[in-house]
Amino acid sequence: MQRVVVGDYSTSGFRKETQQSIFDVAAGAGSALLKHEIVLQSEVEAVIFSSCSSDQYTASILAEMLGIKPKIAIRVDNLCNSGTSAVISGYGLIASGLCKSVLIVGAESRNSPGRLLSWDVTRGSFSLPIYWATMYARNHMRTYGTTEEQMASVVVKNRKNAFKNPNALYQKEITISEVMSSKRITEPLKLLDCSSLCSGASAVLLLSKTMASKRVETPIYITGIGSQTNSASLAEVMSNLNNTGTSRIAARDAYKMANVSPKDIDVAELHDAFSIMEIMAYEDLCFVDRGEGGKFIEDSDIATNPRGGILGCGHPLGATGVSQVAEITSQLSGNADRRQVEGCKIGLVHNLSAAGTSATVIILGTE
Amino acid sequence: MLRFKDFLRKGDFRVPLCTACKETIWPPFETCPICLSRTIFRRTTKRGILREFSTTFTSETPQQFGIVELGGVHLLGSVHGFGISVGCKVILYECGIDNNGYPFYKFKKCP
Repeated sequence: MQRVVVGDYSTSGFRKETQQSIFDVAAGAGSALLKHEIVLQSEVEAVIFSSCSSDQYTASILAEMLGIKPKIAIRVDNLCNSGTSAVISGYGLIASGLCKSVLIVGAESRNSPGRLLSWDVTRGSFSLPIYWATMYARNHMRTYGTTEEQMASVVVKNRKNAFKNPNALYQKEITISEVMSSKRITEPLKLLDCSSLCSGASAVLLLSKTMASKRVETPIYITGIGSQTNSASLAEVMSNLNNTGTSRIAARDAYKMANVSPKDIDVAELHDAFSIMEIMAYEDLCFVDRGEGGKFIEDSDIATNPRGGILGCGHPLGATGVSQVAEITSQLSGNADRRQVEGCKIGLVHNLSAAGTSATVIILGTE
Repeated sequence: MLRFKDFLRKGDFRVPLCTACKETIWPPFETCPICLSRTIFRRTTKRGILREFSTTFTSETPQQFGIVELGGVHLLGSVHGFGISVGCKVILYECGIDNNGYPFYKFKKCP
Protein backbone atom coordinates (compact mmCIF):
# COMPACT_ATOMS: atom_id res chain seq x y z
CA MET A 1 0.00 0.00 0.00
CA GLN A 2 1.34 3.42 -0.96
CA ARG A 3 1.93 5.90 1.85
CA VAL A 4 0.06 9.16 1.28
CA VAL A 5 1.60 12.62 1.66
CA VAL A 6 -0.18 15.96 1.91
CA GLY A 7 2.06 17.61 -0.64
CA ASP A 8 0.61 21.11 -0.75
CA TYR A 9 -2.32 23.22 0.40
CA SER A 10 -3.99 26.57 -0.19
CA THR A 11 -6.86 28.24 1.63
CA SER A 12 -8.67 31.35 0.46
CA GLY A 13 -10.01 34.01 2.76
CA PHE A 14 -13.28 32.93 4.38
CA ARG A 15 -15.71 35.80 3.98
CA LYS A 16 -19.30 36.56 4.92
CA GLU A 17 -20.39 37.34 1.38
CA THR A 18 -19.00 36.87 -2.08
CA GLN A 19 -20.13 37.95 -5.51
CA GLN A 20 -18.34 34.94 -7.01
CA SER A 21 -19.97 31.69 -8.07
CA ILE A 22 -19.16 28.55 -6.11
CA PHE A 23 -16.96 27.46 -9.01
CA ASP A 24 -14.96 30.70 -9.01
CA VAL A 25 -14.48 30.41 -5.24
CA ALA A 26 -13.29 26.81 -5.64
CA ALA A 27 -11.07 27.54 -8.62
CA GLY A 28 -9.43 30.37 -6.67
CA ALA A 29 -8.06 27.98 -4.05
CA GLY A 30 -7.27 25.30 -6.64
CA SER A 31 -5.35 27.62 -8.95
CA ALA A 32 -3.44 29.18 -6.04
CA LEU A 33 -2.24 25.69 -5.10
CA LEU A 34 -1.30 24.79 -8.68
CA LYS A 35 0.74 27.99 -9.01
CA HIS A 36 3.09 26.58 -6.36
CA GLU A 37 4.12 24.12 -9.13
CA ILE A 38 4.51 21.07 -6.93
CA VAL A 39 2.70 19.32 -9.79
CA LEU A 40 1.72 20.28 -13.32
CA GLN A 41 -1.97 20.24 -14.23
CA SER A 42 -1.21 17.30 -16.52
CA GLU A 43 0.09 15.30 -13.55
CA VAL A 44 -3.12 15.56 -11.48
CA GLU A 45 -4.87 12.22 -11.87
CA ALA A 46 -7.99 12.87 -9.80
CA VAL A 47 -10.03 15.91 -8.78
CA ILE A 48 -12.35 15.63 -5.80
CA PHE A 49 -14.75 18.48 -5.12
CA SER A 50 -16.23 18.79 -1.65
CA SER A 51 -19.37 20.88 -1.42
CA CYS A 52 -23.03 20.88 -0.43
CA SER A 53 -23.87 23.07 -3.44
CA SER A 54 -26.98 22.15 -5.41
CA ASP A 55 -25.05 22.48 -8.69
CA GLN A 56 -24.47 19.44 -10.87
CA TYR A 57 -21.36 17.85 -12.37
CA THR A 58 -19.28 20.05 -10.11
CA ALA A 59 -15.97 18.16 -10.05
CA SER A 60 -15.81 17.99 -13.84
CA ILE A 61 -16.60 21.70 -14.11
CA LEU A 62 -13.86 22.51 -11.60
CA ALA A 63 -11.37 20.26 -13.42
CA GLU A 64 -12.10 22.01 -16.71
CA MET A 65 -11.71 25.44 -15.09
CA LEU A 66 -8.31 24.40 -13.70
CA GLY A 67 -7.10 22.93 -16.99
CA ILE A 68 -6.97 19.41 -15.61
CA LYS A 69 -8.05 16.29 -17.51
CA PRO A 70 -8.14 13.81 -14.65
CA LYS A 71 -8.79 10.09 -14.78
CA ILE A 72 -11.29 10.56 -12.00
CA ALA A 73 -13.46 13.58 -11.15
CA ILE A 74 -15.92 13.11 -8.31
CA ARG A 75 -17.84 15.21 -5.85
CA VAL A 76 -18.25 14.40 -2.14
CA ASP A 77 -21.24 15.73 -0.23
CA ASN A 78 -21.42 14.89 3.47
CA LEU A 79 -22.63 18.15 5.06
CA CYS A 80 -20.06 19.60 7.51
CA ASN A 81 -17.99 16.43 7.22
CA SER A 82 -17.66 16.76 3.42
CA GLY A 83 -14.08 17.99 3.30
CA THR A 84 -12.67 15.32 5.58
CA SER A 85 -14.67 12.68 3.70
CA ALA A 86 -13.11 13.98 0.48
CA VAL A 87 -9.64 13.59 1.96
CA ILE A 88 -10.45 9.99 2.87
CA SER A 89 -11.56 9.37 -0.71
CA GLY A 90 -8.33 10.86 -2.04
CA TYR A 91 -6.30 8.81 0.40
CA GLY A 92 -7.98 5.66 -0.88
CA LEU A 93 -7.23 6.48 -4.51
CA ILE A 94 -3.52 6.86 -3.77
CA ALA A 95 -3.10 4.10 -1.19
CA SER A 96 -4.72 1.64 -3.59
CA GLY A 97 -2.33 2.61 -6.37
CA LEU A 98 -5.12 3.87 -8.61
CA CYS A 99 -3.68 7.40 -8.66
CA LYS A 100 -0.42 9.09 -7.74
CA SER A 101 -1.76 12.63 -7.31
CA VAL A 102 -5.18 13.86 -6.19
CA LEU A 103 -6.33 17.46 -5.94
CA ILE A 104 -9.05 18.00 -3.35
CA VAL A 105 -10.94 21.30 -3.32
CA GLY A 106 -13.65 22.15 -0.82
CA ALA A 107 -15.84 25.19 -1.40
CA GLU A 108 -19.11 26.62 -0.24
CA SER A 109 -21.16 29.76 -0.50
CA ARG A 110 -22.89 31.20 2.53
CA ASN A 111 -26.39 30.36 1.34
CA SER A 112 -25.54 26.68 0.82
CA PRO A 113 -28.47 24.26 0.96
CA GLY A 114 -26.33 22.22 3.38
CA ARG A 115 -27.32 24.53 6.23
CA LEU A 116 -30.60 22.64 6.71
CA LEU A 117 -31.36 18.92 6.66
CA SER A 118 -35.05 19.23 5.86
CA TRP A 119 -35.31 15.47 5.26
CA ASP A 120 -35.12 14.74 8.99
CA VAL A 121 -38.69 14.60 10.32
CA THR A 122 -37.51 13.63 13.82
CA ARG A 123 -36.47 17.27 14.34
CA GLY A 124 -39.97 18.56 13.79
CA SER A 125 -39.98 22.31 13.22
CA PHE A 126 -36.68 22.64 15.13
CA SER A 127 -34.64 21.99 12.03
CA LEU A 128 -31.73 24.37 12.60
CA PRO A 129 -28.51 22.92 14.03
CA ILE A 130 -28.62 25.20 17.08
CA TYR A 131 -31.46 23.13 18.53
CA TRP A 132 -29.52 19.88 18.71
CA ALA A 133 -26.45 21.78 19.96
CA THR A 134 -28.63 23.24 22.70
CA MET A 135 -29.76 19.77 23.74
CA TYR A 136 -26.11 18.66 23.99
CA ALA A 137 -25.21 21.76 26.01
CA ARG A 138 -28.11 21.45 28.43
CA ASN A 139 -27.33 17.78 29.01
CA HIS A 140 -23.61 18.46 29.55
CA MET A 141 -24.32 21.22 32.04
CA ARG A 142 -26.86 19.18 33.99
CA THR A 143 -24.95 15.89 33.93
CA TYR A 144 -21.34 17.09 34.31
CA GLY A 145 -21.59 20.60 35.68
CA THR A 146 -20.14 22.27 32.60
CA THR A 147 -20.63 26.05 32.78
CA GLU A 148 -21.52 28.77 30.30
CA GLU A 149 -18.19 30.44 31.13
CA GLN A 150 -16.29 27.30 30.10
CA MET A 151 -18.13 27.28 26.77
CA ALA A 152 -17.34 30.98 26.39
CA SER A 153 -13.65 30.19 27.02
CA VAL A 154 -13.65 28.00 23.91
CA VAL A 155 -14.91 30.92 21.83
CA VAL A 156 -12.37 33.33 23.31
CA LYS A 157 -9.47 30.92 22.63
CA ASN A 158 -10.53 30.24 19.05
CA ARG A 159 -11.17 33.90 18.24
CA LYS A 160 -7.72 34.70 19.65
CA ASN A 161 -6.20 32.09 17.34
CA ALA A 162 -8.23 33.35 14.38
CA PHE A 163 -6.77 36.81 14.95
CA LYS A 164 -3.43 35.34 13.79
CA ASN A 165 -4.97 33.74 10.71
CA PRO A 166 -5.44 36.13 7.77
CA ASN A 167 -7.91 33.74 6.13
CA ALA A 168 -10.25 33.67 9.15
CA LEU A 169 -13.66 35.32 8.94
CA TYR A 170 -13.23 36.97 12.34
CA GLN A 171 -10.20 39.17 12.92
CA LYS A 172 -10.99 40.51 16.35
CA GLU A 173 -10.25 39.10 19.77
CA ILE A 174 -13.16 38.99 22.18
CA THR A 175 -13.58 38.55 25.92
CA ILE A 176 -15.58 36.12 28.00
CA SER A 177 -17.88 38.91 29.08
CA GLU A 178 -18.55 39.79 25.42
CA VAL A 179 -19.53 36.19 24.74
CA MET A 180 -21.67 36.03 27.86
CA SER A 181 -23.47 39.26 27.03
CA SER A 182 -24.04 38.47 23.35
CA LYS A 183 -27.61 37.87 22.21
CA ARG A 184 -29.15 34.83 23.82
CA ILE A 185 -30.44 32.49 21.10
CA THR A 186 -31.39 29.58 23.31
CA GLU A 187 -30.82 28.60 26.89
CA PRO A 188 -27.72 28.42 27.27
CA LEU A 189 -26.31 29.22 23.81
CA LYS A 190 -25.59 32.80 22.85
CA LEU A 191 -24.82 34.30 19.46
CA LEU A 192 -21.06 34.07 19.97
CA ASP A 193 -21.27 30.39 20.99
CA CYS A 194 -22.34 29.70 17.40
CA SER A 195 -20.22 29.60 14.24
CA SER A 196 -21.23 31.52 11.12
CA LEU A 197 -21.87 30.09 7.71
CA CYS A 198 -19.72 31.86 5.15
CA SER A 199 -18.15 31.59 1.72
CA GLY A 200 -14.70 30.14 1.22
CA ALA A 201 -12.52 27.46 -0.28
CA SER A 202 -9.55 25.33 0.60
CA ALA A 203 -7.46 22.91 -1.42
CA VAL A 204 -4.99 20.15 -0.59
CA LEU A 205 -2.84 18.04 -2.88
CA LEU A 206 -2.35 14.41 -1.94
CA LEU A 207 0.61 12.58 -3.45
CA SER A 208 2.03 9.10 -3.25
CA LYS A 209 5.21 8.97 -1.18
CA THR A 210 7.13 8.12 -4.34
CA MET A 211 5.81 11.10 -6.25
CA ALA A 212 6.34 13.41 -3.28
CA SER A 213 9.94 12.33 -2.70
CA LYS A 214 11.64 14.81 -5.02
CA ARG A 215 8.98 17.54 -4.87
CA VAL A 216 8.05 18.07 -1.23
CA GLU A 217 10.69 19.36 1.17
CA THR A 218 8.91 18.35 4.38
CA PRO A 219 6.50 15.53 3.64
CA ILE A 220 3.55 15.29 6.02
CA TYR A 221 2.01 11.82 6.03
CA ILE A 222 -1.55 10.76 6.64
CA THR A 223 -0.92 8.04 9.19
CA GLY A 224 -4.36 7.27 10.55
CA ILE A 225 -7.98 7.50 9.45
CA GLY A 226 -11.18 6.68 11.26
CA SER A 227 -14.67 7.46 10.07
CA GLN A 228 -18.11 6.37 11.17
CA THR A 229 -21.68 7.06 10.09
CA ASN A 230 -24.39 5.89 12.47
CA SER A 231 -27.41 7.63 10.99
CA ALA A 232 -28.62 10.72 9.18
CA SER A 233 -31.53 11.60 11.47
CA LEU A 234 -31.34 12.75 15.07
CA ALA A 235 -33.28 9.68 16.24
CA GLU A 236 -30.21 7.89 17.61
CA VAL A 237 -28.46 11.05 18.81
CA MET A 238 -31.50 12.01 20.88
CA SER A 239 -31.38 8.73 22.78
CA ASN A 240 -27.87 9.47 24.10
CA LEU A 241 -26.67 13.04 24.50
CA ASN A 242 -23.61 12.18 26.58
CA ASN A 243 -21.26 11.81 23.61
CA THR A 244 -21.07 11.70 19.85
CA GLY A 245 -20.58 7.98 19.43
CA THR A 246 -19.32 8.35 15.87
CA SER A 247 -16.41 10.53 17.03
CA ARG A 248 -15.39 7.95 19.60
CA ILE A 249 -15.35 5.17 17.01
CA ALA A 250 -13.54 7.31 14.44
CA ALA A 251 -10.92 8.32 17.00
CA ARG A 252 -10.38 4.76 18.19
CA ASP A 253 -9.83 3.55 14.61
CA ALA A 254 -7.56 6.45 13.67
CA TYR A 255 -5.37 6.05 16.78
CA LYS A 256 -5.06 2.33 16.08
CA MET A 257 -4.13 2.82 12.42
CA ALA A 258 -1.54 5.48 13.29
CA ASN A 259 -0.32 3.47 16.27
CA VAL A 260 -0.54 6.49 18.55
CA SER A 261 -2.52 7.38 21.65
CA PRO A 262 -4.32 10.61 22.55
CA LYS A 263 -1.38 11.78 24.66
CA ASP A 264 0.85 11.69 21.57
CA ILE A 265 -1.18 14.42 19.84
CA ASP A 266 0.58 17.80 19.77
CA VAL A 267 -1.90 19.86 17.79
CA ALA A 268 -5.53 19.32 16.79
CA GLU A 269 -8.19 20.92 14.65
CA LEU A 270 -11.55 20.06 16.22
CA HIS A 271 -15.13 20.49 15.10
CA ASP A 272 -16.44 23.51 17.01
CA ALA A 273 -19.49 24.66 15.08
CA PHE A 274 -20.86 25.39 18.56
CA SER A 275 -18.68 25.92 21.64
CA ILE A 276 -20.14 22.88 23.40
CA MET A 277 -19.00 20.67 20.51
CA GLU A 278 -15.32 21.38 21.17
CA ILE A 279 -15.76 20.50 24.84
CA MET A 280 -17.43 17.23 23.85
CA ALA A 281 -14.67 16.59 21.28
CA TYR A 282 -12.03 16.67 24.05
CA GLU A 283 -13.91 13.79 25.65
CA ASP A 284 -14.85 11.88 22.50
CA LEU A 285 -11.22 11.94 21.32
CA CYS A 286 -10.15 10.71 24.79
CA PHE A 287 -8.01 13.76 25.57
CA VAL A 288 -9.85 13.70 28.92
CA ASP A 289 -12.36 11.50 30.70
CA ARG A 290 -16.09 11.84 30.14
CA GLY A 291 -17.43 14.97 31.78
CA GLU A 292 -13.99 16.63 32.13
CA GLY A 293 -14.10 18.58 28.86
CA GLY A 294 -15.14 21.82 30.47
CA LYS A 295 -12.05 21.83 32.67
CA PHE A 296 -9.71 20.79 29.82
CA ILE A 297 -10.10 24.19 28.21
CA GLU A 298 -8.49 25.68 31.32
CA ASP A 299 -5.40 23.45 31.47
CA SER A 300 -5.02 21.83 28.05
CA ASP A 301 -1.60 20.55 27.03
CA ILE A 302 -2.70 20.07 23.41
CA ALA A 303 -2.86 23.07 21.07
CA THR A 304 -6.44 23.05 19.83
CA ASN A 305 -7.84 24.87 16.80
CA PRO A 306 -4.75 26.97 16.06
CA ARG A 307 -6.29 28.32 12.83
CA GLY A 308 -9.23 29.59 14.88
CA GLY A 309 -11.52 26.61 14.43
CA ILE A 310 -14.95 26.96 12.94
CA LEU A 311 -15.91 29.56 15.55
CA GLY A 312 -13.08 31.83 14.46
CA CYS A 313 -12.71 31.01 10.78
CA GLY A 314 -16.37 30.65 9.83
CA HIS A 315 -17.98 27.57 8.37
CA PRO A 316 -18.02 27.16 4.58
CA LEU A 317 -19.33 23.61 4.96
CA GLY A 318 -17.54 21.79 2.14
CA ALA A 319 -14.30 23.69 2.71
CA THR A 320 -14.03 23.29 6.47
CA GLY A 321 -12.59 19.75 6.60
CA VAL A 322 -10.10 20.52 3.82
CA SER A 323 -8.92 23.66 5.59
CA GLN A 324 -8.50 21.70 8.82
CA VAL A 325 -6.17 19.28 7.02
CA ALA A 326 -4.35 22.23 5.40
CA GLU A 327 -3.84 23.83 8.82
CA ILE A 328 -2.43 20.73 10.48
CA THR A 329 -0.14 20.19 7.50
CA SER A 330 1.14 23.77 7.79
CA GLN A 331 1.68 23.29 11.53
CA LEU A 332 3.60 20.03 11.17
CA SER A 333 5.75 21.40 8.36
CA GLY A 334 6.60 24.50 10.41
CA ASN A 335 4.94 26.95 8.05
CA ALA A 336 2.11 28.30 10.21
CA ASP A 337 3.66 31.74 10.66
CA ARG A 338 2.33 33.67 13.67
CA ARG A 339 0.20 30.78 14.88
CA GLN A 340 2.93 28.14 14.72
CA VAL A 341 2.78 25.56 17.51
CA GLU A 342 6.41 24.92 18.36
CA GLY A 343 7.82 21.42 18.07
CA CYS A 344 4.65 19.68 16.92
CA LYS A 345 5.15 16.32 15.20
CA ILE A 346 1.76 14.62 15.34
CA GLY A 347 -1.51 16.35 14.52
CA LEU A 348 -5.17 15.40 14.47
CA VAL A 349 -8.18 16.57 12.48
CA HIS A 350 -11.69 15.95 13.81
CA ASN A 351 -14.83 16.79 11.91
CA LEU A 352 -18.47 15.74 12.04
CA SER A 353 -21.87 16.25 10.46
CA ALA A 354 -25.38 16.84 11.69
CA ALA A 355 -25.07 16.49 15.45
CA GLY A 356 -22.37 13.86 15.11
CA THR A 357 -24.42 11.41 13.10
CA SER A 358 -21.18 10.96 11.16
CA ALA A 359 -17.63 11.83 12.15
CA THR A 360 -14.10 11.61 10.81
CA VAL A 361 -10.70 11.66 12.50
CA ILE A 362 -7.49 11.98 10.48
CA ILE A 363 -4.03 11.78 12.04
CA LEU A 364 -1.03 13.32 10.32
CA GLY A 365 2.63 13.10 11.18
CA THR A 366 6.11 14.02 10.10
CA GLU A 367 7.14 10.36 9.93
CA MET B 1 -41.70 8.98 4.44
CA LEU B 2 -44.67 9.86 2.25
CA ARG B 3 -47.19 7.80 4.19
CA PHE B 4 -45.90 9.21 7.50
CA LYS B 5 -46.36 12.74 6.23
CA ASP B 6 -49.78 11.94 4.77
CA PHE B 7 -50.97 10.81 8.20
CA LEU B 8 -49.22 13.68 9.97
CA ARG B 9 -50.83 16.23 7.66
CA LYS B 10 -54.16 15.06 9.08
CA GLY B 11 -52.85 15.43 12.65
CA ASP B 12 -52.46 11.66 12.97
CA PHE B 13 -49.06 10.68 14.46
CA ARG B 14 -48.23 7.14 13.38
CA VAL B 15 -45.04 5.15 13.71
CA PRO B 16 -44.02 2.37 11.32
CA LEU B 17 -43.82 -1.20 12.52
CA CYS B 18 -42.08 -4.05 10.75
CA THR B 19 -44.49 -6.97 10.90
CA ALA B 20 -41.66 -9.43 10.27
CA CYS B 21 -39.21 -8.12 12.91
CA LYS B 22 -41.90 -6.75 15.22
CA GLU B 23 -39.66 -3.70 15.58
CA THR B 24 -40.71 -0.05 15.66
CA ILE B 25 -38.90 1.77 12.88
CA TRP B 26 -37.76 5.36 13.47
CA PRO B 27 -37.25 7.59 11.54
CA PRO B 28 -40.33 6.53 9.62
CA PHE B 29 -39.34 4.43 6.61
CA GLU B 30 -41.51 2.54 4.16
CA THR B 31 -39.12 -0.38 4.40
CA CYS B 32 -37.63 -2.00 7.50
CA PRO B 33 -33.85 -1.29 7.52
CA ILE B 34 -33.25 -4.61 9.30
CA CYS B 35 -35.09 -7.18 7.14
CA LEU B 36 -36.19 -4.90 4.27
CA SER B 37 -39.86 -5.88 4.62
CA ARG B 38 -42.51 -3.24 3.99
CA THR B 39 -43.66 -1.50 7.16
CA ILE B 40 -47.16 -0.75 8.38
CA PHE B 41 -48.07 2.51 10.11
CA ARG B 42 -49.87 2.27 13.42
CA ARG B 43 -50.99 4.74 16.02
CA THR B 44 -48.85 4.92 19.11
CA THR B 45 -49.36 6.28 22.60
CA LYS B 46 -49.52 10.04 22.85
CA ARG B 47 -47.98 10.01 26.30
CA GLY B 48 -44.22 10.37 26.54
CA ILE B 49 -41.32 11.34 28.79
CA LEU B 50 -39.42 14.62 28.46
CA ARG B 51 -35.74 13.66 28.18
CA GLU B 52 -34.19 17.11 27.70
CA PHE B 53 -35.53 20.60 27.18
CA SER B 54 -34.60 24.24 26.77
CA THR B 55 -36.00 27.59 25.71
CA THR B 56 -35.44 29.36 22.40
CA PHE B 57 -35.58 33.12 22.07
CA THR B 58 -35.57 33.25 18.27
CA SER B 59 -39.18 34.39 18.01
CA GLU B 60 -40.90 37.29 19.77
CA THR B 61 -42.16 35.01 22.49
CA PRO B 62 -39.72 32.59 24.17
CA GLN B 63 -40.66 29.01 23.37
CA GLN B 64 -39.83 25.82 25.25
CA PHE B 65 -38.74 22.81 23.22
CA GLY B 66 -37.29 19.45 23.99
CA ILE B 67 -36.65 15.81 23.26
CA VAL B 68 -39.58 13.54 24.02
CA GLU B 69 -39.46 9.76 24.16
CA LEU B 70 -42.82 8.56 22.91
CA GLY B 71 -43.71 4.93 22.31
CA GLY B 72 -40.06 3.96 21.91
CA VAL B 73 -39.09 6.79 19.53
CA HIS B 74 -37.41 10.16 20.16
CA LEU B 75 -38.51 13.40 18.58
CA LEU B 76 -37.95 17.12 18.98
CA GLY B 77 -41.00 19.26 19.62
CA SER B 78 -42.33 22.30 21.41
CA VAL B 79 -43.25 21.77 25.06
CA HIS B 80 -45.93 23.91 26.65
CA GLY B 81 -46.74 24.51 30.28
CA PHE B 82 -45.08 25.74 33.46
CA GLY B 83 -42.77 23.79 35.71
CA ILE B 84 -41.55 21.19 33.23
CA SER B 85 -38.47 19.17 34.11
CA VAL B 86 -36.41 16.33 32.68
CA GLY B 87 -38.30 13.09 33.31
CA CYS B 88 -41.75 14.65 33.51
CA LYS B 89 -44.66 13.12 31.63
CA VAL B 90 -45.93 14.97 28.58
CA ILE B 91 -48.66 14.39 26.04
CA LEU B 92 -48.66 15.01 22.28
CA TYR B 93 -51.70 17.24 21.86
CA GLU B 94 -51.17 18.52 18.32
CA CYS B 95 -49.05 17.58 15.31
CA GLY B 96 -49.04 18.27 11.61
CA ILE B 97 -47.14 19.88 8.76
CA ASP B 98 -46.58 23.64 8.93
CA ASN B 99 -46.79 26.16 6.10
CA ASN B 100 -43.08 25.71 5.35
CA GLY B 101 -43.52 21.97 4.91
CA TYR B 102 -41.89 21.03 8.22
CA PRO B 103 -43.50 18.57 10.60
CA PHE B 104 -44.39 19.94 14.03
CA TYR B 105 -45.06 18.18 17.29
CA LYS B 106 -46.62 20.02 20.24
CA PHE B 107 -46.46 18.57 23.72
CA LYS B 108 -47.77 19.73 27.06
CA LYS B 109 -47.12 18.59 30.57
CA CYS B 110 -49.50 15.91 31.73
CA PRO B 111 -51.75 17.12 34.52
